[in-house]
Amino acid sequence: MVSEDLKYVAHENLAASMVDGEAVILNLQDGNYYGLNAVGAEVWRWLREPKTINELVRLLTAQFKVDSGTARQDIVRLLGDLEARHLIQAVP
Amino acid sequence: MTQSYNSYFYSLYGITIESDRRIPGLCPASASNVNLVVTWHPEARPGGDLRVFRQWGGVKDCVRFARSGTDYVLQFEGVADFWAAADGSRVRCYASDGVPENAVQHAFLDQTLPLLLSRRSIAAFHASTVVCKPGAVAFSGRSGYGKSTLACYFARHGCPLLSDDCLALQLEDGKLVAQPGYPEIRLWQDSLQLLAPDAGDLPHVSDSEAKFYYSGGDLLPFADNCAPLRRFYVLEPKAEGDLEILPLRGADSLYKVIALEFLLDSADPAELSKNLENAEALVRSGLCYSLRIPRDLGNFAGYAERIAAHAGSDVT
Repeated sequence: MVSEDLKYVAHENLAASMVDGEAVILNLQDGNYYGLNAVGAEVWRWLREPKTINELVRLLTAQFKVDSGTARQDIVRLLGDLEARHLIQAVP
Repeated sequence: MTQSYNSYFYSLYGITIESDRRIPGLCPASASNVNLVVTWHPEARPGGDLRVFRQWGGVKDCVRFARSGTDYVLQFEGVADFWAAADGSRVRCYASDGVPENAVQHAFLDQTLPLLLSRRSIAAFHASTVVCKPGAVAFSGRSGYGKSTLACYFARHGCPLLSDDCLALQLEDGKLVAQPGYPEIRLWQDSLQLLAPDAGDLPHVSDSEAKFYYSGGDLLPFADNCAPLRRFYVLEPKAEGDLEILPLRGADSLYKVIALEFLLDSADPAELSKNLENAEALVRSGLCYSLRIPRDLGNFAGYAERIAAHAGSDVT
C-alpha cells in the first residue's frame, strides 16, 4: 500500500530501456523484465528522483489530458504495482 | 624436461582462439591478439563441488550450467565438460570416452563458445546469417523455425553464409557489424532434401540432435569477412497464408530480441545489463523485422526472393 506521506524512487538494482516511448525495466536481482506503456514510461522517468504521489499527479495532469482524480487513481495503482515488484522503494 | 606443445589459431565470431588441438573446419588465424585459449584434456575431469544453477534437456541430452570456484562449468551429458574462466578467456575441455569428435566439437563451437561471448561483452544471438549486397542479413528465431534453411538457400543463391545459429555482433564506428563463424551449416533432413538433394551421406550433428552437418564446398560459399548488419529478421511460425514482414517496434520487440540472445549467467547483474543494452542497440538500429513465413517448402524460392527484395538484395 503506497502512502501519501512518503516519496518514491526507482530502485538501484535495475536497468531500464526506453524504446519507441515504452519502457522495459530489468530487475537485476532476479532477471525479470517488466514493461510500461507510454504513460507509465513517463512516470518511470520522473521516478529517477524521489517524488510524492502529489508531485506525480501534478506532473501527470500537466503533461496529459487527464483530471486529477483519475490521475491520482492511476498513480496510486502504478506505484503499488511497481512497489510490489520491488522496482521502486519508499524514502522518507 | 621439455613438453611438446602444438598451438593452432583460429578466427571466429570476432575473436582469435588458440587451441592445443586442431579444430577441423575453422578458419585459420595468425598467432597474434589471442582472446581465448582452449586446452583439451584426455585425463579425467576435475572433482570438487559443483553448484548447478541451471539445466535443460532430458536425461540423455541434459546440459548443466554450474560454478566451481570462479569458473563456469558446462556439462553436456555423455559428451563433454567445458570449464571456462569467468571472463571467457580460457576453456578446458574434457570429452567423455568414445564420443565422436563432431559431437564434442558441436557442444564446444555451437553451444559453449556463443555462451562465452556474453562473458566477453560480445552480443551473440541465435541467428543464422548471410551476406547480401547491402550487408549482413540475419535470420533469428527458436530452434526449428527455419533459420538455417533460409540461410542455406541464400548461400546457395549468391549470398554467402556468414554464420549458422550464432550471430556475433560488434559495434564499430556506430554501426552493428556481424562477425563470421565457420563454413558449416546444420540442417534438418527435409531442408537438406530441398536444398541439397545431391549431398549424399552427411554426418549427424550429435546423437541427441537429428540435424546433419552440411559444408557444401563450392555449393555453400562462405564469407570470411565481417559485414555491416542490414537486416535482423525474427522468424515466427505461421501455419498457412502468405509471407509477412513487419517492422519490430516498442517494448514487445525488445522482449523478442532479448529472448534470442545467448546468456550464460542470468544471475550476474553485469551480464544481464549488457544483454539488455545489446538488445536495445539492435532494436534502436531500426533493422529488426518480424518474418512470418509459412512452413511451405514448395513455395520457398518465392518467399526467399521476396525476403531478398525486402533486404535490398536479390537471390540468383
